[in-house]
Amino acid sequence: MSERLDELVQVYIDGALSPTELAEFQAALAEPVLLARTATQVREHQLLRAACRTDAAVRARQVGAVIDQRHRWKISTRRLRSIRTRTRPRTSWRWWMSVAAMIMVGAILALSEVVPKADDGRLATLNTATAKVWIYRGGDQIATQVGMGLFPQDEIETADEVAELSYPDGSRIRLLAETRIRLWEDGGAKRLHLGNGEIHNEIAVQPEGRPLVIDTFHSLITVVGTVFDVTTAEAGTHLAVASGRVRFSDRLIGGTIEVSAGSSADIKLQPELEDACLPIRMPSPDMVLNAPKKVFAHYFPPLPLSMDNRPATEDYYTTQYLSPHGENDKFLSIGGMLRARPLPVRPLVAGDWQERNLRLEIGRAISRGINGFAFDIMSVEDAAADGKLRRMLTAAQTVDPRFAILLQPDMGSLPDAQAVERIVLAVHGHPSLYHLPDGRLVLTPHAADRIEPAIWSAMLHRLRGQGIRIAFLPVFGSLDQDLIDHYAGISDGLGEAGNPGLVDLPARVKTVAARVRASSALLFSASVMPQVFRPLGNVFSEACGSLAYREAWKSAIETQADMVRIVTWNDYGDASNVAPATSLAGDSGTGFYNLTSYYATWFQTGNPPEITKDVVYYFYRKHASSLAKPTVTWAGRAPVDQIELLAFLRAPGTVTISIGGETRSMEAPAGITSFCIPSLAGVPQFRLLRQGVTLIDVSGKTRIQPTGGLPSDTLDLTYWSGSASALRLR
Amino acid sequence: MTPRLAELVAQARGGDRAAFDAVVETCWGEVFAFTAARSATMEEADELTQEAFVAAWFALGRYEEREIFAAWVKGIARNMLRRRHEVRATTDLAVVAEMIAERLDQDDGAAEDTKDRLDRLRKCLDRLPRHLRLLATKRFAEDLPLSLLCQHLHRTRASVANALTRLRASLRDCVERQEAAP
Repeated sequence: MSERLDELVQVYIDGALSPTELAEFQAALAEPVLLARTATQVREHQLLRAACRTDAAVRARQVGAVIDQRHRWKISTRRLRSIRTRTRPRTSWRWWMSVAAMIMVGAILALSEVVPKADDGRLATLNTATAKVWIYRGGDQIATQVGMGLFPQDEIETADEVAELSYPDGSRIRLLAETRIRLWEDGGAKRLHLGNGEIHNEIAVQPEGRPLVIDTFHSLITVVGTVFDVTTAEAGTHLAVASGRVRFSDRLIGGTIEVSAGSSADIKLQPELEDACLPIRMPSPDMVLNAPKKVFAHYFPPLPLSMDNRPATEDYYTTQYLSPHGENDKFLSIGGMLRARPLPVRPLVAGDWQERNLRLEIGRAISRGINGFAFDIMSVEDAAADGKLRRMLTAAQTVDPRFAILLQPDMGSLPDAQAVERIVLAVHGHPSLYHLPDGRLVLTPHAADRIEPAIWSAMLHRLRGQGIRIAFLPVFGSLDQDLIDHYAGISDGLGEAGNPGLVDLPARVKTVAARVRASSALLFSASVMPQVFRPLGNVFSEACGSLAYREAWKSAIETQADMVRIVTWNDYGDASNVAPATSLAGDSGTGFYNLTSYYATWFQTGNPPEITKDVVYYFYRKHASSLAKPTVTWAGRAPVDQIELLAFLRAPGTVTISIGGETRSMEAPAGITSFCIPSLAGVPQFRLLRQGVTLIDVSGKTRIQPTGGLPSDTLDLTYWSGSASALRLR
Repeated sequence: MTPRLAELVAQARGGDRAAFDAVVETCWGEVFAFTAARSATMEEADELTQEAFVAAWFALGRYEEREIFAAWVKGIARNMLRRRHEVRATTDLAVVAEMIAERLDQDDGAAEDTKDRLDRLRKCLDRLPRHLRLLATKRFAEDLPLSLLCQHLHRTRASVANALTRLRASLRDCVERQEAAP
């Protein structure tokens, strides 16, 4: 019992006891011995926390600030009392003059509070101007000069210079280098969007009920009057307060804290994935969201981050989907329904945990260059007020309405075109839905060939009759010429589902793109798919590590696809997920997720991004393909049992893979290198060396099993993957 | 209480705010350990510690020199906690927190978490083998919850809780050895 109690105490300290655990814990505490043990453990834990904390000086300053504040309050109260009790002096003309002057000054001050803008409608004034400070108005760059007015929606960007602007009330904002902000106002309250970089703020006391609000991708900062710095980048937003207090709210997962003088706080995009192993400097979330070229990831609603808001050790994924005995042995013959699951998230005690988790997923997607989800709509109920699609739309709107949700009715699940029509009618006005620049709502039914073109056409006609203009971009399993001929007439664009097992994938993509462009459909939507292994139904395609994913991306870029769909974001059921994943054994699945950043950025910008950091990804399977026979059959590329090291190098280096007592190496040039060796039993070790110095040294997290037979009946042909950089291992 | 701390407290009683800042800095850890063990969250513990010191400043006139200063502030914090417990809703979690707090109050005389004890603990933490120091850092300095720690270490919850129990026992031994040393 004592070991179980120790475990419960630790979870209690984290505030994460489930109701069942709380009942168990409470029952245990009825025993005086166990209560004493608990108290000792809690005291020792907190003593250790106190010993590890090094912020006593900061805390002392905070205490001092509170004391000062209360002193001031007491003093002002005393003054007020003394004024009230003072005998009224004899009035004289001087007294009346001074009263008149005070009233005038008061009136001016009050007026400046209520009407903070100058006569020309400006919000603020630019105090500095150099060639490295740019102003954008209505999307166009305009000439910069000292003293110029800044108006609502103006954007200010600095290169390697500092810029300063001031408001009529004396508030000043200083933009440090490589910073971009946008100004506007909301009901008389100042608003400022910090897209990227760092600002230093000295904010005068703001009018009652109209605080200054600064928003970043991750946070909302509410200010009444204070001095503070804000820095934002891809990974998160940092707030440091010099004086006063600032309210700091997390836009992605909710929650607000007050940050007081002498303190700082961070809101991170995803604490467990921060400082990721990316070879490039990622564009800011602003740039990703504003990119005209869209990268959608297929969102599969049945497999969200959590299905029951329970700790990962006991949640539905662990007990029902990953366990061979889950759902009453329903998947026993295939060793469980899934091999992988999303990274665990902490249960949420209060609030809408499902929406919080969706916001987390959106944040993760944006951080890798994905600017929308293609939402797999499997039933009409998804579009109902409390349906999955609605929840996703709400989450996207909360994070940022620019994160687009692409309507993707799944015709493998939906009965007919009328169902699609009802879905569109239910949600068409939502601001987070993806529209083309001409305002048309984009509809991309999957397996669209289950409905005849004439029926689709009638549906589109009816919607148009209701004022809903649709851009119709159906997606098909395999886009052959006869399908194009059949559907192009009613479509604005066409796409094909991904297939990582195709023998000559680039040639196939080029052919399909050419066929679409030769038709009347015009837009070509490319699919990129990392891998496929679906235990349910024994579906498998050989992706050759990262090869299929890289080839698909390069093909989409070379064919200048109009949009990319990553298939999928989160279908752990067929291992096609790029969202980070893990397993009961703690296998690592971050390779495809991190790799996405490079190609998504390339697709959006049109240029291969500069490699700024040495990064290594690895991809391999734990089971040899020979173990899959005879249950699994495959078409397309023949299976290859290999270990791949994919290096992104700033400069030439030596990459090595060690396993089973053998080490193979390769001299890799600067750029991208894929180094593959035949698979052997054991745990592979991956290294990057340059000029005799080991820069990266990382072990795989998955053990490759011998080919003699399965250690259990659970066949796993997933390419598990990991990421490492000279700075951090994942 | 060290002579230096006593001198600082005396200066603070004379209205010296800078001296009081130094007193807070010296005693913060000790009082925080006390409040954290009795609070539901770290934020609450931080807030309570701060409030206790602020209240202590305004009540310095009532402080008697023979008392240990940190113990006196802990007394203030204890009273604040009692008031909070009185008004708190009687949820199961609040009941549990209160049971533990009461038990801790009973134990306080037996094992006082003094500044010396904190200092010894810090020394012992520094002497831990690397893998245990990493575990301590993750859990106590970075406040990594158990679930994330399990993920990080690729171990089960029971196994990590067990490792933490062993870690604390080893630190307890180390502190006690130091206390016993001449």
